[in-house]
Amino acid sequence: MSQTVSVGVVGPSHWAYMASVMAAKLQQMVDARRTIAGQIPVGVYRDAREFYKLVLEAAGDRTPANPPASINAYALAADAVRAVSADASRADVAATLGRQQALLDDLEQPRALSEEELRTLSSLHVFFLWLKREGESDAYERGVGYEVPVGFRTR
Amino acid sequence: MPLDAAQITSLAASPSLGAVTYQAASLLRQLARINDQEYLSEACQIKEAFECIAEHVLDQLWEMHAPDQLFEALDDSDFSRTQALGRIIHQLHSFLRYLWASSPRQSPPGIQSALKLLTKLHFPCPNGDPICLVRPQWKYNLTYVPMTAILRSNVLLPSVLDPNGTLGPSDPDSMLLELWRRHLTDASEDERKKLGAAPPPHVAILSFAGLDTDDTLSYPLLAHELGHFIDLSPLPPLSSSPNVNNAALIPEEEVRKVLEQYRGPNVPARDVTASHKATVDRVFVALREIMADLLATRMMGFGYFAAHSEFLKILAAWPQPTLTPSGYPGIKYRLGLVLEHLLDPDGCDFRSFLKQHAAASEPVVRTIVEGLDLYLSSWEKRVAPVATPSVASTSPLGDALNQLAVAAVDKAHGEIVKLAKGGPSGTLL
Repeated sequence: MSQTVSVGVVGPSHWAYMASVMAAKLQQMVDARRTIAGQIPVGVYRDAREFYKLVLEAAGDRTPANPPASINAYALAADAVRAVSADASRADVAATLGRQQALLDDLEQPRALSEEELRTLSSLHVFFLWLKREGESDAYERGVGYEVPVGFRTR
Repeated sequence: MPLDAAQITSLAASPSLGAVTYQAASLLRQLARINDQEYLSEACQIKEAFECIAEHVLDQLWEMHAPDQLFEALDDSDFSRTQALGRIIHQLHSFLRYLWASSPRQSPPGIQSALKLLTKLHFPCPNGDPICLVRPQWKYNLTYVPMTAILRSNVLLPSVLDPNGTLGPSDPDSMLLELWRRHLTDASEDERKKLGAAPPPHVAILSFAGLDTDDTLSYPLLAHELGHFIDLSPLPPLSSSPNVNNAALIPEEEVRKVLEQYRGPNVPARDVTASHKATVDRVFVALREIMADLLATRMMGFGYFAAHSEFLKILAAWPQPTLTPSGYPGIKYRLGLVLEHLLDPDGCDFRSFLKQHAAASEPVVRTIVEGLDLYLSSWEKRVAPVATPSVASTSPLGDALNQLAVAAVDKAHGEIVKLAKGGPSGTLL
């Protein structure tokens, strides 16, 4: 009488590789102070945009297509934003993620970045570094898979 | 030739590409042992899908392998990718247990045939025939494993399997199709015909409690797992269709208000988000279970209610709240919903069926009908709602959040029943 997983609900380890490549590529762009076309492998870029799409579906007031999956991704992304500014409200989180998504969608257009865009790019870089770290930690947790003994009270 | 200091440092720091490559090759060897002499055709088809992914992973690992740089440090990207490809291999390997356990030695062919028939009767298959594999499990429970969904979301990751987009359109289904085509390149004409031009579009593993392998009265329980499979066959799933989502979704603000009521103002935003996520998860777990229960009731009728109630009675008494912390409906609540649907004149209308036979000429039939009617009446009393809980709660905040989830499930319940009765296109059951 049980379903093993909720469809589309994935832990941070799911995004670990994407986040690792994104963090490395964004660092290069931060150093160059510009966006560079073709820098990010297409499959990685697709997953990064997919992640933000999923996250932002749950950040607004509209009902997401897959609420458990979107809210799960949003909670992860909100944690990443709040790792930098702990008191960020839901509206602050949505605004930050919205700015990051707009820049992410535009990364393939090569151009020099304004100071404001550079700040957003840096925050995006920090975001993916955080996601990479969480993902690797989650992968380890899942790998070692602590099993709760029978009869042990978990709450 | 001895390694130099830099090579030894790199050896200590990098994950072993060779070890993961060995694991991929080992997985392929183990998959090759699943053959149509010993296993069902369903297991063999699923094995082919695993195999085409594992072959691609092995190819990718070989591409990363540079014989002249065996002891060079992997760059950051290769370092992470080795681990990510390793995780895919580890997951695929863990799925082998489903194929092995489906062997006729462990899983009676009769159960597999019955489920195949039930699936054929009730599964809506606009995109191709479904495959469900039945197997016993050690844990005393039944389980649905949404294999297609797991492959899509956990295994067929474009960033890991195809970072440079060489497989063409980089969505999971297109990637699997391309890998399937490559896998069949060297296959004989006969084999290609047997396996088909595309991988199976809907794959599920349905597990039953191994202890009940020979108890035929327990088999209707598998209809619940098939109900999950039917629920998840369309995208979005029935239990997550737009009307259900709109009715069931709880705004984060409502969760914040409940938290502030019990913890005072200034609850950290992070706590609100975490509680909101947990509450929404709970609602959708409940809706999926209710949908699977209703579909199973519609497929198996009284047989499902009887098997379900007997199964649950053995597990525990009934002190649970309407929804448990994980979101599973409490025993009394779920049996109440199943019974309601079984007796609902617009649902299964089981009493009308009994009435047709109440005046039967054979006394034995009349006796059975009277007995069943009495049985159902006593169940109706047993599952009737009770006004107050008998045990005081130790977590008022937990109860309040649970109430929020219960209210959301109640709001969406009508939509779930409507979908179970006919589906969006009126084609279901």
